[in-house]
Amino acid sequence: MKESFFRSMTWLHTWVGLLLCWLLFLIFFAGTISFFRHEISLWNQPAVHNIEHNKQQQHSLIESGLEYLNTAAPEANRWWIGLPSSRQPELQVSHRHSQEEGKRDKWLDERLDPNTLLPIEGLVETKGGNFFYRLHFDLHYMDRKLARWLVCFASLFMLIALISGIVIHKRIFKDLFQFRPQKGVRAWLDAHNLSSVLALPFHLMITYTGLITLIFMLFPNPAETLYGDGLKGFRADFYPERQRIEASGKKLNEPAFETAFAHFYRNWPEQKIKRVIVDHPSNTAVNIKIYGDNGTLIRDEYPYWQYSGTTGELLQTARLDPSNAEMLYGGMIAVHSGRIAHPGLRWLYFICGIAGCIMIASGCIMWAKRIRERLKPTQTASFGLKLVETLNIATIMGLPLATSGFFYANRLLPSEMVARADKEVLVFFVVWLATALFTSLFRDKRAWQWLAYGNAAVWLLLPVCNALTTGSNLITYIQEGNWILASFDLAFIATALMFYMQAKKLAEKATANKNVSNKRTQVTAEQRA
Amino acid sequence: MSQADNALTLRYRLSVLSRFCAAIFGGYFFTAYSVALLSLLLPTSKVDAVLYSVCASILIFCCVFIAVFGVRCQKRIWSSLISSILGLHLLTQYIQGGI
Repeated sequence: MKESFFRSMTWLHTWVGLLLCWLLFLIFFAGTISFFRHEISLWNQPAVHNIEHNKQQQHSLIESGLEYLNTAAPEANRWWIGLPSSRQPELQVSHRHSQEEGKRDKWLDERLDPNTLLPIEGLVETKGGNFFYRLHFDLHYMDRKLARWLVCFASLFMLIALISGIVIHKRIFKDLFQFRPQKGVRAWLDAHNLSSVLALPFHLMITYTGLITLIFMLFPNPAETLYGDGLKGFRADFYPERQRIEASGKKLNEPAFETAFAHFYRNWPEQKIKRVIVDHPSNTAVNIKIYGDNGTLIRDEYPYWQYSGTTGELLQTARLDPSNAEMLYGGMIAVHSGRIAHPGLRWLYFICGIAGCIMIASGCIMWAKRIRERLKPTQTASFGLKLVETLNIATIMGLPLATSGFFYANRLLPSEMVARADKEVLVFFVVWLATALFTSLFRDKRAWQWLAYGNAAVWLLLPVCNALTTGSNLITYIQEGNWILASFDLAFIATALMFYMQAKKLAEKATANKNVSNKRTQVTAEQRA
Repeated sequence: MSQADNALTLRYRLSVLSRFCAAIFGGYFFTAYSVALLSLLLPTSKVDAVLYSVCASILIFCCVFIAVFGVRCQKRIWSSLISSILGLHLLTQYIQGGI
């Protein structure tokens, strides 16, 4: 088929890269945004913006949470208390209720101001950053299992494209410093190399560990070989906290919270707590589950303590002293999700993610441009080429536009709307679909230019929209020292500037091209910048 | 890619399809059977053996995928894939005492 290993790798890189590049772009894009998942959830919930940073001790917060749930939802089958963190200022108190047979249990979420312990007023229904987090591996409007297989498949192709890309790259260090703008396809090649090589360790790491997050779906074989009941048995061993506890049917009035927590605080006085879960709080099967906070340790699962709620004795613990294999597996997932990262590292994650998006985008563009350049003036573009070009614009320019639509919808949809969270998501997809339809009509350079102007305009107006709807703006955020929200406005403006620069560049090129060639007018008009 | 343009014969297309199938499905099953065997051979606790094996799985998959595109002869690809998968499976069965 191919003469040498090198050639076959070049071929593999081109085709494997092209086949799934749009899906990969979506995965990378959503994943990059998901590094700020909790921050987006915060932005999407203006009622939480002005909550003061928690000053309470964790034991008094847990006590208040339990008291609150005891009055608000004594009949729930599970209580959940999420303690405030630097990324989530509120105290989460959720309770789960059994439904009639065959229906899934229903969660009701409430949030308290950690300092006043009063419920936060004026919350809106929104998916927040979780939308992008789910989009990253569950996609949307499709079966979860199928979506995850698709994502795995695309990630595998990504890994293959990366490895074959390294193989075909003879001059990896030279390319680090080479950028030749104004040179047509060469410039795109350099952009592709630059964004790939600079962040190569990140790309390899994020793709490999991404596959590891879904590994038990991909390869259940080792667990099936070692355990008689397969994954179920393995999970029982590895995640004792996820085992279902059945209700006993006997009522219990006063669970032994005090004894249990007294034992915990006495033996692990320094341990920061992430969340507390109580199963069957009004039942003799009551269990108290305490999850420790990992902080910035490179671990994914939390250390775990389980107490009996009837006697208050310690029943079991997990991961207090993880083995090497657990550290390896948990560490891979932890570096993927970036939950371990403090703000500085989180931005580095974000920038590397954007480099990944640029790598994929420039790869797709280069593919189409090369085919275009090889066309003779008399030839017309094939259907395949048109399809690639349309998908390129629709994905690369459409996704940012759709994302801004999601943010606008969050601020502008009436707060009492039914199924409001779903409407926000609907706006995202409608904007994306509209962009795709628009680009199928105008596939050329104008589409890039108009969409770049459009993106610049909507992203620039987003801080304005935010200021008009919430009453706070960039200046007040900076005065109050609210850096998370200030960063949002700054990031929006930076995005707008980037798109404006892109539009300007495209406009310049369009005029330059017109002046240069009269003969090939028709061809150049179809070429994209 | 340059060769793809002037040689888009049916034969060429079929050989590409065959290679992709070998890489994707052959690679998948080879990896699945080899990590199953690996988990049996690791002298650690059961949980740890499962975790080490799954962590190595993607690496194995990638190597097989690349190798399939690196080997010139199609017949050799398929024959070595099928025989090694069979071998891995039999060995796993043997260790588990199934044979």
